[in-house]
Amino acid sequence: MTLIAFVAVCATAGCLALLARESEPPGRVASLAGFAVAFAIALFIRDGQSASVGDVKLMAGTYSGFFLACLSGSALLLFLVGLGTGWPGRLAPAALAAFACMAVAITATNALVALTAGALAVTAGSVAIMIAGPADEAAAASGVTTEQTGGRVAEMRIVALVAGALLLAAVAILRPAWNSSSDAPVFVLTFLALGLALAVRSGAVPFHGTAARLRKTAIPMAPALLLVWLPAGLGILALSWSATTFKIHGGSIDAAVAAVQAVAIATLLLGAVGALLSNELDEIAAYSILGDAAFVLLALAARSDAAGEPARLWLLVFVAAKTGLVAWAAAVGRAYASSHLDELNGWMRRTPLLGLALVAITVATLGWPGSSVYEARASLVRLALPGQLGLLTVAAALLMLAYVGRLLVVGALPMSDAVRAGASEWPQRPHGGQPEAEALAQATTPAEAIAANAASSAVAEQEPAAVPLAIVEPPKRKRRSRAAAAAEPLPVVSVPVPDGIAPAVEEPTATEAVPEAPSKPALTTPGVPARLTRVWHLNRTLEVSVVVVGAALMTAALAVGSFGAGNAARSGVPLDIPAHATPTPTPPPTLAPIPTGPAPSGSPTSEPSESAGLTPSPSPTPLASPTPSPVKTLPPAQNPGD
Amino acid sequence: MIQLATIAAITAVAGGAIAIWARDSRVVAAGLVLSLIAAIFTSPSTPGTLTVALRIIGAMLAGYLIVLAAGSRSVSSEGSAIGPLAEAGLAATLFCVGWWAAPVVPLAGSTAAQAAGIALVGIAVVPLLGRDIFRLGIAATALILGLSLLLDAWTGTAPALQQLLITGLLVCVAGVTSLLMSPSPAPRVAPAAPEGAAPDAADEPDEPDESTSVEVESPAEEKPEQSVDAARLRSSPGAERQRLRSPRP
Repeated sequence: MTLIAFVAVCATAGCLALLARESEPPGRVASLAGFAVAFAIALFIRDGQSASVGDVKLMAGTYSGFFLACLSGSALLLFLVGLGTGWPGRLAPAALAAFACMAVAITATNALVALTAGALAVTAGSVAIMIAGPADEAAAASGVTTEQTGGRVAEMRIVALVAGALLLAAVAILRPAWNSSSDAPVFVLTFLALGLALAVRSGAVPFHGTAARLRKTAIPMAPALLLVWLPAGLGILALSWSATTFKIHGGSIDAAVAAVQAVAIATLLLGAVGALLSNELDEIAAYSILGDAAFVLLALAARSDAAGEPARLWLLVFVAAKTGLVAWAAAVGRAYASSHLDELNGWMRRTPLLGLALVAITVATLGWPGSSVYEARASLVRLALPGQLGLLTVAAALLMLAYVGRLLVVGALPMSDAVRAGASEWPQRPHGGQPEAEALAQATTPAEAIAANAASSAVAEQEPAAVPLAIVEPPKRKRRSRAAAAAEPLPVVSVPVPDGIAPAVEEPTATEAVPEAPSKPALTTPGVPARLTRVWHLNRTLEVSVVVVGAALMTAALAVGSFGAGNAARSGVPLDIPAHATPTPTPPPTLAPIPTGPAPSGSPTSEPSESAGLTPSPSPTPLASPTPSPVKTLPPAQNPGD
Repeated sequence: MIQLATIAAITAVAGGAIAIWARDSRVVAAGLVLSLIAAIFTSPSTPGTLTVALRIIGAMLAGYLIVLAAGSRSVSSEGSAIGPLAEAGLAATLFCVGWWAAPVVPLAGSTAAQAAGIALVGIAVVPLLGRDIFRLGIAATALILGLSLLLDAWTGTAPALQQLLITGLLVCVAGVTSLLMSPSPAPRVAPAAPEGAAPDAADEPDEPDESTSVEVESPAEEKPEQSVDAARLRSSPGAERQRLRSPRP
């Protein structure tokens, strides 16, 4: 029942958020409430819970619940960050709809239903590309730009390709009675289609252009949905049965596997190189995401049951860590109204919590030798690639350390003008704050003196980030991120201070005489708890940073196998059951096309026993779905006569 | 005696071909709806009433979404890239191939469904290679419909939930097509930038490609109903070909 509740909550909240998208407060409430309730429900999804929809059974497993909780929890944190950095519009309904479909996909015991639901999830998520980000509003008067149109065309192709590949994969897993000497070509084609769908959706290197340009073609934070959540769900679907279905060896399938391996290696290395060479935070995040998505392709290429557990653990960490990275990029972009790295010198000096978050995300992604996530990455490389390429684990880690180190070094440099003018996490002192004092001393006109005086007296009660922006003229910047356009206008000193919060400060008007000497009004210094409360409520940057840090630390805990992630990764998803019941293709077909009885002993039907440890075995009726016994020539999921 | 499944399969392919090669958006939507509805009856066994009603509603909704996005602005595109005759010939050839081929024995579904599925998948390939978003969306819908017919033919009639999901997938693809081909939203009033903030060069629109950016309503124009380049395109040779055409990189 919890599974149905999860689907219902996601679908309902998605519809409400879509309907209320024009009116922001109701839309935000519906979205956040939807994610929060879905997350709470997902925590209660337990192994063995099932629900029937018609003649199809949805069966929850430990990993299914964990993955759904990870998805909805990550989304909740991301949208909480979005409250402070700029609400990502239609991303919430798209994500909620995708989650509802994904829940059906990874819990359905019918392969056809699961793969179709996966295709539907990918299609629903593509709505996120619809509204372009920074250039869209400015360009609306002149037309859809080339990049935006290119992004839309690419997204439409991705939708068609992924849906087609998943439906084609259903053919392979259902395994009709082919009338040919060998059904290996079907499996080769399906393997290629599945690998291509995963590569395209996750932005693997030959298709990385669309992913890297999401900054310009999609709504803010869209990479979290398009490059993290959806590929992760697709990965679970693909990996659940690829180990047995494609466990054949021969010329064609080996060539297909080699192609997937090549794409994975190129993505792993060039993704990190792209992140190292890029100067835009959003592009760095996108390249980092697609580089780490290569491990899903490696798991597909491994074609081994042993790759199941590390791949499932990696997908959990991937979802949490990369969502945190997207949130981190949005938070930095919002704080300094720029996402261009050249303008962010010294960012870590003003937002040290975001620096801590970046370190935590990196640790969670890479781990250390002996940690769960490190071993998972190493296992996937070892299982998918020849022995001499095992060093890729270390190479990928070093490259990631390089681009993260570059970010940290830039953050430790002396502050640039943009950073100095940006928001800070630090609570500012009520009197004699450095920027205010400097501004007051440098005031040359009456208006400046009034503003500086008001700032110096009211800064303790206002958002600290507002003062520098109001007093110090921001430097001219060539580029500004979409976060700047989406962010709320920072308050200036002329904003009236509520009586309940701040002591009455007499606001000078333009007609007032300039005071001879700036006199500081008498402030009643509040207590430390009250000041902390005010800082918390008034410093939006601090709020955002704390949420990002919280998400990053939870990701780090997840990466070491906490919260039961390690145990959950040992179990599979219900799709494993029909997948493992499907025999692997047998190149020399000696069986008659029409079966007359059960499969003989030693036939491929004995295959499932090899993977017993990976299937959600505690299920009371694992084969209660319409999936029949895995006889070669029977379509397993349907009754042909119906 | 010609069976219902055969007539339905031929109708589905004809509707799909019309949707692929027609120039006017309303004809495209009509062909798509026809194809989606006819595809329901290609199964040898008539599906349940609820399933039929669901798929008909889904087909109508998909067609409505296409008309809503395209028809309201009288969108027409250049039609088939290979010409209507070639398109029809390709569809007929693939239908015959699907009718006579027997990749799966025994066939769990109907031969008509297999033939229609192969034909729809085949005629969807060419538009998928183009850069016309409208055509891409129609082709994606035809591709998914064709693959679902092939699944029906090879593995038997899908369960009710699968029918629901396929219907949702088709409607969703039509909806995404409708959204992606829509112009950008009207610019909102930008939040007040901090005083003294420099104009943002990054937010400047990219260099507009005058020859290609079409179907965009400009609130700054005196006639917001018209697209920016529509008048110029209409007055120029080959204007029709430029409409709704995506830019070349």
